[in-house]
Amino acid sequence: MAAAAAEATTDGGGKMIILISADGKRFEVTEAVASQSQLISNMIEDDCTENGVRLPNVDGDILTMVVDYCNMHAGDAAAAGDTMKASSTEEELKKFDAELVQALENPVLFKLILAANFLNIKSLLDMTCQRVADMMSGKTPEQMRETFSIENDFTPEEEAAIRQENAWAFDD
Amino acid sequence: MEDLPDDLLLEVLRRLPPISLDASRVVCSAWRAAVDANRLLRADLLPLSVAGIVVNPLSLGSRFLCRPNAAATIADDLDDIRNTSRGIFNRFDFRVSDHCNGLFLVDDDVQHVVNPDTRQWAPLPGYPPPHPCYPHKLFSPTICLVFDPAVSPHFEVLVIPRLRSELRRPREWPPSPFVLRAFSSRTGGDQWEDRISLSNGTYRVIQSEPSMSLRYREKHPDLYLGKSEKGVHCARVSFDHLMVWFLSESHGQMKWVLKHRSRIASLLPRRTTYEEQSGESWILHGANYQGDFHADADDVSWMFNLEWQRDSYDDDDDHHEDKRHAKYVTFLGFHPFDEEVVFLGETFRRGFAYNLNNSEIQDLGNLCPKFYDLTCHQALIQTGKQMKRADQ
Repeated sequence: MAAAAAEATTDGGGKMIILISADGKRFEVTEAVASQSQLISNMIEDDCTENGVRLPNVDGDILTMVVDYCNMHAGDAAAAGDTMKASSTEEELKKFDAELVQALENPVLFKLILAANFLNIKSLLDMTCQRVADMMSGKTPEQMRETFSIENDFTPEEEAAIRQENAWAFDD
Repeated sequence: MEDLPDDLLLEVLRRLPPISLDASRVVCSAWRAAVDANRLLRADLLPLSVAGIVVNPLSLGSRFLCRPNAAATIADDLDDIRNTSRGIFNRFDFRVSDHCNGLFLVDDDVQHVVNPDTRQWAPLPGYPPPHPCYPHKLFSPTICLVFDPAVSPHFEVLVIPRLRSELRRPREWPPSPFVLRAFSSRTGGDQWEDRISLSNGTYRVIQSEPSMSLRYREKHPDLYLGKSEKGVHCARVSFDHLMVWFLSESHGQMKWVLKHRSRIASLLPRRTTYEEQSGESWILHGANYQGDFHADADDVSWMFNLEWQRDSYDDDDDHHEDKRHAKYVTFLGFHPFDEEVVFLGETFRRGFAYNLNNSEIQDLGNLCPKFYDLTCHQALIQTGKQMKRADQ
């Protein structure tokens, strides 16, 4: 597996696949890069990537990020054999990942989550969901509403009752 | 955030720490529904530390045996309870008669359920009169507090009939129906409801092992039930032997499996060396506090929530070489998060943690309040935050 992936990425001899976003942007990536998406990996196995893969749920700007992410992470398997390289790569990857999600506006972050889910890229889904969870962590309900522009649809009585429900378990 | 479908909202929510998860329930109805429908608020919200051991000396209020180090940060909380509870409890020196997952059942003239962490308390209605089937002559009730935030934010108090004497055991035991009286904070008020009968199959009887048999009941009356993360355990100290069983379930059959047997009395260090141990010892809070319940007992420090430290099991080698038998070993409880560790007491003087696997012993410190007449020191002793109570 590792050797095959290395071949595909380092030699450039791997088969190329065209990804087409909702707004018609085209991205050419190697099979190794694309198959981090379980969805596309399945399509490759089924031999239905010949005419490019249309992704009607994913906008071009989001797909740009996804492709960047996959390009960056395609090295994972190749580097795994070389421990020295692997450790430095791991650090770089962490930095890359952090920078990728850090600056995103909420709507874009949510679109990225939807794309990661649709394309079935588990590591990207994990990372983006964790980012949202981190943004919520330690906040009061009011701050959470503000952060994500959520409307409070409880009546004051309902809200008081819900706060009371877990009063035995938590220190408010 | 509304853009996210339910399954992705769930992906986010399940990554939250319990306290934030609790806050998220209040944000909007969709989030609350997601949290509740998927039971996201789980047992991991519990503080995973051993709080200490509650020692109830006869005719005195509860004392707390805890590790010395983390004390300062938490002492304030407990001071607060002590101060604010004065209007609630008639006596400062109250007794903790049971506890479960961080809640205390406190006996005073009126029973209260207290949460030391959130500084809340609620009075219970007076205990119900005995059920007609279980007259006080034959049965004394065991009062249990039940609270598991993983299941419900409400607590319950159960009154379980218990035979006063094994010698007068009825032909059919446990009787069917076997009625418990229960109070739930969900319904509140002063309602006790009758609950559970053997005939409707809501619980089953697990046969005890022959070695658990109560042949020596007169001298060694008690089996100690407890639970850790790995399941339900049972222990017995008979003469100087410690025996521990784990409840195992296979092929739909529940049975007790003997996990440990040792001559525990010879393993515990002899008493004359106790005074020399100090640094690692836990501290019995309120140990020097006596009698006068209305006194302003500022010298009493109350401390909780001390982390269990695995690395401190190590004991002085000298103690293992000392084969002089301790006088009388009592079982205090199971470690709530580590099924290999149990807490033992020696003649109600000294508390020990004992590792079932490698027989390592940690001296926890003095169990007995100063100036206290040891012969009267019959204690109800409880351990940790998740411990079943162990009567003595």
